[in-house]
Amino acid sequence: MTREEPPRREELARLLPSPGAPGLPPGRQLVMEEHLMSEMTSSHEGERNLWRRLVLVAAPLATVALIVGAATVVGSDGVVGPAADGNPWEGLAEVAAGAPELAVASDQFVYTAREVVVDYGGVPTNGQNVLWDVDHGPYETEQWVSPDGGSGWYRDSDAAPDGVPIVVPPEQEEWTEDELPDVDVDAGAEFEIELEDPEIYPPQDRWLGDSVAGVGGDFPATLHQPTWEYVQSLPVDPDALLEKIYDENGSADSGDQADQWAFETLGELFEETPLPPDTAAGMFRAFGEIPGVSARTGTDATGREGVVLSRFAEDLGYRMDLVFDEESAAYLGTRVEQIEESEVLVIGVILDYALTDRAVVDEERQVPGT
Amino acid sequence: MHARVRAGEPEAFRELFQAHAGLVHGYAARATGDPSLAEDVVSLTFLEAWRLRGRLRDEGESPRPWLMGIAVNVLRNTTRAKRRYERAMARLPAPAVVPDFADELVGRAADAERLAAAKRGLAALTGGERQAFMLHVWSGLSYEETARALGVRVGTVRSRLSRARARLRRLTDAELGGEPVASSGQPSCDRRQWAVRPSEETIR
Repeated sequence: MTREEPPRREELARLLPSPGAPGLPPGRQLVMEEHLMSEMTSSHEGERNLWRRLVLVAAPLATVALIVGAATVVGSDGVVGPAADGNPWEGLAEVAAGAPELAVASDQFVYTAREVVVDYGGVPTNGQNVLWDVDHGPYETEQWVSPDGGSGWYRDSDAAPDGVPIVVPPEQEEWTEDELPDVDVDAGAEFEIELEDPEIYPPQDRWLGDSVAGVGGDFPATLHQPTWEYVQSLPVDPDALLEKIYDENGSADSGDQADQWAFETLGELFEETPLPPDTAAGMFRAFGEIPGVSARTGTDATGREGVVLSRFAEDLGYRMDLVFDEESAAYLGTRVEQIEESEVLVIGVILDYALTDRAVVDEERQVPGT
Repeated sequence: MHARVRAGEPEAFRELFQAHAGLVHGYAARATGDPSLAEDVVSLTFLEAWRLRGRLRDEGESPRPWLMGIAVNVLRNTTRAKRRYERAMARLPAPAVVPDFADELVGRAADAERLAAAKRGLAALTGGERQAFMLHVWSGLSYEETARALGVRVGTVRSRLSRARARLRRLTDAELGGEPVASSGQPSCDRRQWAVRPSEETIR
């Protein structure tokens, strides 16, 4: 059976040449741009707060694609294959299942401290997609979150050293006409709509507003924004859990991308909240079901040794490591290393952070043991 | 930038718009054959992108596949998108009357004619083939980016483009005596009907 070569762009373009793209007239593009900006900024402040919260939660994963990193130390890890040491996820699952049940009362807080050692970010220049380095690490974060995710406190030694409250964003409201800034529609006129004060939000810096959005109201808990209460309802059966994850992550992805996203979703759950023992056990077994996940020994960002569960994202050419303590099956940290060259990514560790403390405390801003 | 867009930073979104408005407009203009309608599609695409920004994933260095996927969806059902953003679109100022408007109108008419001619070639393709063809060949997305934008596998893009090639070859040989379709310059028929039909076919 002969197989025809996949068509090349040039060949197809000869068959049906592009009519060219009539350009968007610059004045018109400016009008559209300002219209878009005013629609965005006139929408609810609470919505932005949500995304500030999501920055905290998702930025570690989020930074992966556009970040430009420089190589740093990677532990000289010895490989533990399933053959060498039984089945690594099963081992972790059994340890996790035997962990003590945790209780968090509704008036208590889950305290999480994190040490971010490497956090490279890239920022596009205006309209050019050219990146420059932004190195945000190292810094530390602490957060106190109520079991429903709706209240608490967040501190970040870099972006919010004094801390900011976690609050549920208000309900979404319809925009009203008088909330909109006037847009001058004269062709060629200069548009001057102040959106953000550049002194407060320098474009290339991490920033926080005066609050961090909690979970609740219009923004319920999800797999990607989990709370202590939410994880109580997760399936403990690994297959059922994976089905939920693949389903909720969306059907647009398939193959390696979907598998990678499932791996990262499990990682996010470990990062964000403590888990019931059976749920954690099911999650370790779920790792074993995802194609491409491997295990070895290694260290986290602070040098603690542990079992490293890893997956290489074929599309994007990076590897994500999730580090767990072998004795307690506790989550220790996350590392992302860019392996393959790409146009804008530099080889090396681009993200590396460790969870340094996690506890249930009675008071907001109470440090455990005090 | 992905993280900043997802975080809802307006300035990051402005950069996204500045960098990609032209790409979306070009695609929309060629898909609809109507530069003015294409402007609406650009606005609708970015309004929708803002709403869906939480779904922007770290799919490599460029947000193009994500954005173009939204544009494809907006084109599939422009009416629904317009309804969703009815209030917002009502606030979009109408195109300003510029001093050299006569030149602009002539330019626009010429644009529209070229677009209409190209669309006759596209008529030989099914909806899925047309989308893959336009994203890959005319908008310059790679096979992989095209697959992501359309939410299909790379192999599907490849086979759609292979079928598109076969159809266009037949069309070129049979109807146009070997001349490329778009240079035939035949008068356009009802291009507005054109503008809606092919995109609706693609709903599966």
